[in-house]
Amino acid sequence: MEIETKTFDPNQYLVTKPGNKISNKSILRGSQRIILSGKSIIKENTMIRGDLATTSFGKFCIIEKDCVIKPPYRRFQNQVVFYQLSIGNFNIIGENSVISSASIGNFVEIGKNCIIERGCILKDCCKILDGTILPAETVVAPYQIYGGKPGKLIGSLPESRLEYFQDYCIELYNSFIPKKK
Amino acid sequence: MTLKIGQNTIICDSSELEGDITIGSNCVLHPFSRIIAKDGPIVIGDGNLLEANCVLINEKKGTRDSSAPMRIGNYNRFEIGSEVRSLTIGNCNVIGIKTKLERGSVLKDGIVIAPTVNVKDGVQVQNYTVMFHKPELIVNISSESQKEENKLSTTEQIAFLKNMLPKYNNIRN
Repeated sequence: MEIETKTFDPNQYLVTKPGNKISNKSILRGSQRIILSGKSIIKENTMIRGDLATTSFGKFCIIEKDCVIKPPYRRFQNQVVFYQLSIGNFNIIGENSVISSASIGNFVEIGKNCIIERGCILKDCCKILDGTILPAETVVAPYQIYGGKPGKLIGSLPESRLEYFQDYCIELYNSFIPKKK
Repeated sequence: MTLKIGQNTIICDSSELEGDITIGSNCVLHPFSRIIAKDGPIVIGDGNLLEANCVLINEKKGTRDSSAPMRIGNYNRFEIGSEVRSLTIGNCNVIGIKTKLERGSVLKDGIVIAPTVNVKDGVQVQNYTVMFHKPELIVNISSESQKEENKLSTTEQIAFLKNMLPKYNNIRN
C-alpha cells in the first residue's frame, strides 16, 4: 500500500516518548483527563474537551485538523451529567468533524465534516461517510457504512476490512515525518 | 470596549469579546466562543449558553445597511460552530451545530434549528418551529412544550458547567 509521506514542521509538533505527535496549535483542555495510549497524531486546531469528562484514546488514532471532540451528556431527573468518551485503537477521524459520541470502537473511519451527536455508539470496523449527521444515541453495528443527513445504513464492509484498515493506520502514522533541514 | 456582565455568569479566559457588549446573569461562555460587536452593540439576556467555536457577530452587510443593536433573549443555547448574525433572537431557542443565521433573519421563541441548517436573509422563523434536513429543508411546527424543554435542557447544562468549568479553565473576572 503506498501512502505519500507528509512532512510536518518539527517546531510545530510535539513528539512524546510513547510516540504521540501532537500539534502546538491543537487545543487540549483539561489535559489531566485526556488519556493517549501512544502512536497517535493530533493535528492543528482540534479541540479536545477533557474538562467536561475524561476522554481516552487508543493507539494509532489519527485525528485530522479542525475537529472538536467533546464528551457526551445524559439527562437525569433535573440534572445533566457529562460522562466518559472512550475511543479505541486504529481510528481515523476526518477534518472539521464534531464528535460527541459515547464510545467509538476499533478500526473506525469517520469522514470529513461529520457531526456525530451526543451518546452515539460506533462499534468496531464501521465507516461513516463524509458529511453525515448521526442523530443522538444511534448505534452503528460492526462492518456497516452509514451516510446522509440523518445518517442511515448505506452498505456494509467486507470481512477483510479489519486487517486492511489496521495496515492503513500504521502506514499513515509512519508516513507523517518531520521535515529535515 | 465596554462590557457589562450580570451576576453568576462564567466567561472562560480564551473566549473573545470585542466591542460594546452586555451579558445577563447566569450565562456560560465556553472557551473559544466569540462575541464581536463590530458595527453596533450586542445585548444578551439571562441564562444563555454559548458553546465552543460559536460566533455572534454584529456586522453591517454592505454599504447600504445601517448599524443596529443585536438583541438576544433568555435561555438560548448556541451549539458548537454556529455563526449568528441575525439582529433579533427570542427566548428558549436551540441553535444547532454549524448553522449560519444571516443578518436579516428573525427568530422568535421556542425554536430548534438542526445541525448545518442555514437561515437566510429575510426569513422570519415563527414560534415553536423545528427546521431540519431530510435532506431537503423541512420546517415543522411543534407544540408549546418545545419552549419548556429547550429551557430545561439549557438550564440543566448551565448548572453542571458552572461547577465544572472553573476547575480546568481560567475564568475571566
